[in-house]
Amino acid sequence: MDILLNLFAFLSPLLLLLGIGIKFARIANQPVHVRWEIYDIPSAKRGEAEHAGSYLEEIDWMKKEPKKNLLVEFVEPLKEIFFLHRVKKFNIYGLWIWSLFLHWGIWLLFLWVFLVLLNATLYSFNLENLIFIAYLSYGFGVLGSLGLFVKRISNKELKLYTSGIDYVNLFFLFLLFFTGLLMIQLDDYSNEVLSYMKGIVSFTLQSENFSTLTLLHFLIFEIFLLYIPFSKFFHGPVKFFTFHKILWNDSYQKKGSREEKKIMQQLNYKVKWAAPHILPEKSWLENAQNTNFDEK
Amino acid sequence: MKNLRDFSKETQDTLEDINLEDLVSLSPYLEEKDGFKELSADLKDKYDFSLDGFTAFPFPIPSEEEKAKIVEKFLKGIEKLLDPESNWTFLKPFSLSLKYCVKCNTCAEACHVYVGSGRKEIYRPNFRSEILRRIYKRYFTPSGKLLKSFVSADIEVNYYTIRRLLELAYRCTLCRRCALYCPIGIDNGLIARELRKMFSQELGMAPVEVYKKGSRQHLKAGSSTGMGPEAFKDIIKFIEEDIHERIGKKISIPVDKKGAAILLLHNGGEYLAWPDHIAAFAILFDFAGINYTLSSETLGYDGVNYGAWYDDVELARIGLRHLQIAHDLGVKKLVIGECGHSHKVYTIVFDKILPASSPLWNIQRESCLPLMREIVKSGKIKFDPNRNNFPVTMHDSCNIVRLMGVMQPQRDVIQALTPNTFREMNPNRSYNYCCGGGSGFAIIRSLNFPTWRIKVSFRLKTKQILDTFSDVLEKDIPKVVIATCSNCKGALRDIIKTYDLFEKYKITYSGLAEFIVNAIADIPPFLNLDELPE
Repeated sequence: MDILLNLFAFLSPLLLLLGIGIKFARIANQPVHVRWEIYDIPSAKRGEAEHAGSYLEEIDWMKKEPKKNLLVEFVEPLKEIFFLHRVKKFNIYGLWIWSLFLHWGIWLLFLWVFLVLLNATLYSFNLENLIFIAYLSYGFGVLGSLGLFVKRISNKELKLYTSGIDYVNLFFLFLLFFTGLLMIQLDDYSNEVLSYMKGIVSFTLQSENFSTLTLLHFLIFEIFLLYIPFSKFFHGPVKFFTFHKILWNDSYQKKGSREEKKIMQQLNYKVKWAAPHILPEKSWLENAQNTNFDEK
Repeated sequence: MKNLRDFSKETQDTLEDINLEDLVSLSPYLEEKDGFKELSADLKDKYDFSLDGFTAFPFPIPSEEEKAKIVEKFLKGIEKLLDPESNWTFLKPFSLSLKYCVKCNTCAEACHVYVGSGRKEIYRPNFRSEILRRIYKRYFTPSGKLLKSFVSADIEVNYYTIRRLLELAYRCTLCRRCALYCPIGIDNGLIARELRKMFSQELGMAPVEVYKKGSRQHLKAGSSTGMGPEAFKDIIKFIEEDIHERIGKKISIPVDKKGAAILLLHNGGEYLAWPDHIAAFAILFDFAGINYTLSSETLGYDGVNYGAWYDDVELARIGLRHLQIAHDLGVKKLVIGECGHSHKVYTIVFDKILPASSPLWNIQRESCLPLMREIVKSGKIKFDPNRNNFPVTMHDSCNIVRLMGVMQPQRDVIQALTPNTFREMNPNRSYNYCCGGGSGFAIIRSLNFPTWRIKVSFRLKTKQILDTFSDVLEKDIPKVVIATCSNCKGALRDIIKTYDLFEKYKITYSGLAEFIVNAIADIPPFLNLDELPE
């Protein structure tokens, strides 16, 4: 039993990284798609200008090197990650504050776990001084998950779009934070979490050394890690693609690039669509070059 | 609506009724008394109105056998939308939008159709996407097959589901304002487009005006208007004569001029509906000494590309021909005239449809707007901004502003050519509202779709125009709405005509080129503010 406990605890963060890596690779390896931006593009912001347009505002853009401020491109998403500013600005269902609580609960939980890991491995310090982080994380998490649960079940418009699995996900998050909140009420919680973390890295976890609450909380946390890549929780990492690679791309194709080679290959894909105006079993290029416009 | 499963109800009864009382009010500017006409029993028997009481498709109701085939094709179509070879063009953005929405519905308030309709559930940007997501889950994922409604895999595909979804794909103008609101970057506008594409490329279903009288006619006759090369040449002659009469100077419009630096590609509709627009470009380019040409090759004089709205194959066919014509003429640049979707197609979409080493890719594809700014600022032409001494605002074309990022040149031009009479609409630039005629809506005239378009789709833009001019509504003050897109201009024309805005408030519209030429000091004023264009 303890072997399983050790294995699961040790592998769950690794499998999280592996899962994210595989998902990222799969998405990245999808075909080169047609450009499909939405402006403003943060990286195009210049000076005090309120709006940031495209390089296409210039004559002879092809002869000029586009100016991009990559720092801004990667700073801009922080507004969404830490303040959910679009939800705050545009959502009319009152989701923002609860969603903000839940997201901060998660960010602080990762920070708390990191600090415990640091303490257990590289740098020892008095964890008691940082307990407020755990309180904030678990407190925010409980409030956020409960708030969103109530919102989704009580608002008829949101309810229409919410399914059983969405409620289960929120309940699961509630359990994660609630067990954490109970765990840090234990007299010896500090030693327990440190021992648990040391046990993971040295592969010496023994269930008998921990309270049921600590074991339960960490088990739920490990399941949460595993669940991220295979669930809606992946909506966070996926923003790298939706924003940086699609909506904010704003870059034209370069000669001799890997992208260009892929486009050449893709033009030779067979068009499998079946409508009368499509030439079956011909490639995209052949279809595009077709000058016989009578339907088949 | 109590449950999204109602979408599959096997009945001709409408899913949602649209009533005048529910729509966003146009008061105090306009008093609307007319409701919606009751459909005749004959029409109801013949066509399907089961979404919202309106239809853009004069398709007869099929037999049971045909219905079964449609269901089969529809499911194959969804499979192809997710196949890397069949849908390489949009697989990545489409599949991410299909799979990672968290249903916070932050997008809802972005949509001019949803808000304008009085927030009817079926028009919520996420509604049609959620129907497709649930179908996808139910028929294509193991969790959906196993857990069904627990994971919201609960929409059954029958003929009624498909027919309503076809209609619903044409209740979104693809303006993608919803994508601007989404905290995750989900693109419900793209999902609407991909649905249209699947219907066209797999089931052969598209609005008559967009496919048969649209891209097919464009490819066969040379223009979606039906105008052939000879008719085009005749119109050019007529425009040259008209210019001579109006400004007292002979201007020769270059056609098929080898060695020209620029091929100027207008929206073909302009030649027939707004020849003044073509004339304005000719005058402006002539005065500025631009070395350009038009083309009389089949397709070469009509820059529209309706494929952008519904079909990747048609999009590629038309686009490739335009680029080939530019290449054959030996021009260095293809400059897109005032047509929104054409702007997006050639500068953005075609960037990755051809390899960068292709000679066709290397024809520089540019918007006319930066060039117009350059002309105005160059000092080559003497302008008198007082010619434009009337309240003027600008309607931003979604394609040019939000989907392409060209926002400032047109503003620089207007500001330079007015004595501080320019006022922005609110919201504007990338946050603008669609005119309501985008993605083909302005040209779809089948059955009772135009009524829906005018009453629902045009609604917020109508209100926005009136709000913008609310302090100068007096009849003796002419007011101009500038649009840099032919489709938007068509929508503005219909709005102004339908609601009598010219007669009531002297609100009219113009393209940017006409507005610029109106300010050229050496010739008579070009705009006639006492009559509505066309």
